[in-house]
Amino acid sequence: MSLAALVIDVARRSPDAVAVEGPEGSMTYGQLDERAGRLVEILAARGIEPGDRVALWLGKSAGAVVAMQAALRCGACYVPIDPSSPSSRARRIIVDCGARALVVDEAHRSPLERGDPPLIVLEPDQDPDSPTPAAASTPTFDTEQLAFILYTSGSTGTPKGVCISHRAALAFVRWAHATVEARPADRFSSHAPFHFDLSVLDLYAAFMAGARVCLIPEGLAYAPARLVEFMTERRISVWYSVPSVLMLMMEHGGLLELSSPPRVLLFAGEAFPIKHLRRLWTRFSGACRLLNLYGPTETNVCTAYEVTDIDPERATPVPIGKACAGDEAWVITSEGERASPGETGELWVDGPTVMSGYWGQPRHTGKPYATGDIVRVLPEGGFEYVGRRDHMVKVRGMRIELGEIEAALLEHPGVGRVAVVVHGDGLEARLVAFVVPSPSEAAPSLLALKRQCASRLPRYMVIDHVRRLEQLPHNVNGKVDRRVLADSLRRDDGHARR
Amino acid sequence: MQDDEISSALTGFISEKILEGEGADLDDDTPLLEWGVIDSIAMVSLLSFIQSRFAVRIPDGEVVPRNFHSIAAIGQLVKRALLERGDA
Repeated sequence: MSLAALVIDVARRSPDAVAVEGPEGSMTYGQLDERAGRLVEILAARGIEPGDRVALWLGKSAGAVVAMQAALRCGACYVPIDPSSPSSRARRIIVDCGARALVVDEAHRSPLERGDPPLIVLEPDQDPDSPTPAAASTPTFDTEQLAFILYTSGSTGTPKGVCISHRAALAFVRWAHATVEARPADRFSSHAPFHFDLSVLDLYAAFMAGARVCLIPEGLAYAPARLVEFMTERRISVWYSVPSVLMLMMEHGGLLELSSPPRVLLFAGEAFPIKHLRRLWTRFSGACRLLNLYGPTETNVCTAYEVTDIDPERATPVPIGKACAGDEAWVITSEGERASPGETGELWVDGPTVMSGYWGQPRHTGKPYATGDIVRVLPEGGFEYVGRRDHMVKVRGMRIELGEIEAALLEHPGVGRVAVVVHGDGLEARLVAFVVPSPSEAAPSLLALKRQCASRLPRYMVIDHVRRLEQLPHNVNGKVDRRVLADSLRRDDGHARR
Repeated sequence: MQDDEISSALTGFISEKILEGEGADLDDDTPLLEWGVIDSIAMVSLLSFIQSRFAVRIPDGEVVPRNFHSIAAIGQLVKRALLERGDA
């Protein structure tokens, strides 16, 4: 079965049901089906074939959903690009995945330069040459074919494309659909941007149920009170976001004053600080299910934990739970052995939801996938998150390889050497760059460094603070010692508090 | 209140509090959202600064990117809020 079949099925069954509610109004399944069909014609006429990549660089809109559906119906896979990315990064992704077509909106134009491979550029609602759209067909194809590629931050400075097949996406979506007990009357929030893996659940669990997905415009992110208002006005029944967004909504948006919360609140992407989660649970337990989902982009969601009780003594985040969606998860200790209950080690995952590999790296099959996350095996089953084994960090749920920020900063002539660390957690998490200025240049200001980041990286990877050093500390292996840097920030905090 | 008075108060706050005193190269047209100077967390402190400094409250519906993309845009927003309050 194809991921595109979900919408086609509902469009046949109940064409007048609302599929997508966006800033421009609502779109029924029938309309989505028709608009996608029209775009398929255009794409097919321009020679898009099964296996091709169609990049999407546009804001959160019904048009973006139409473009995804159209790409899938062509048997192509779509590659959503962060709409706030600078064009240099969008170009890198388009070139890396060898996209044959790019769908944009009025705010975006092709970032390609002279000499780049040819690219078909179009908007989702372009008029087709022929007036009647082709009837929706479900192309027969291999379920191992790719449905989408999600680019994540890469440690060497270049983003990596995580390839998700129809089979993997559907395995996850079926699980999510069953777990939230999705039904046609549901209204799913779509908070995460489409290049972020959380959006897969929002869109396709809703489509599998014939339910409605309500797109939250990017601009609302700055006003937590409006997010809460959105939740009430659109009568959202299934909400899914990173914990940071829920915390902002609690702290500054009056979330806890809601009399009827969504029936399910899902969160993932980072640890939910226990004192905040406890407030949410105390206020809403009974009225609303709370689920902590875990999984890197490479595996989709692979473990889940339903919050049914929080021990008043508990000081650490709730567990990430047990393997789900048919996946298998196990832990390997630093001695290379399988961890027993109580022991910690790296979490490994294998199963139907795991990626097919990274784009352009045929030898990496993706399976089993070593997550790089250190977890503890719980005596009652399941896992508890402990930390990372490398330099990948999460800031407000967004996954960031510090090396990618460092690579971008090093391109500034005033930066001689640099190490980036994360300081604080939850809403307080900040990216701090330790810079050794180039001897020949004036030391760049924080504003100049932010500009440098913004010209190469998505907005969530722009540094928050800068500290200048004469040299970076090294550990015994000669590597930059980030721990010393992080400790120095904690000491500064200590002094500031006194 | 004069435009440049509003603008310099905003510049001072963003430069001192958000950019840790490193805002010497900040001007009225610096793209604050695009360069990540203001994110959703900084927005909270900026809004409370505006409320205490100018004694106006920015309605939630006005907290949108087009009103905060630069100091010039925020200045216009504050000015409108002051006008509505009846003392420009």
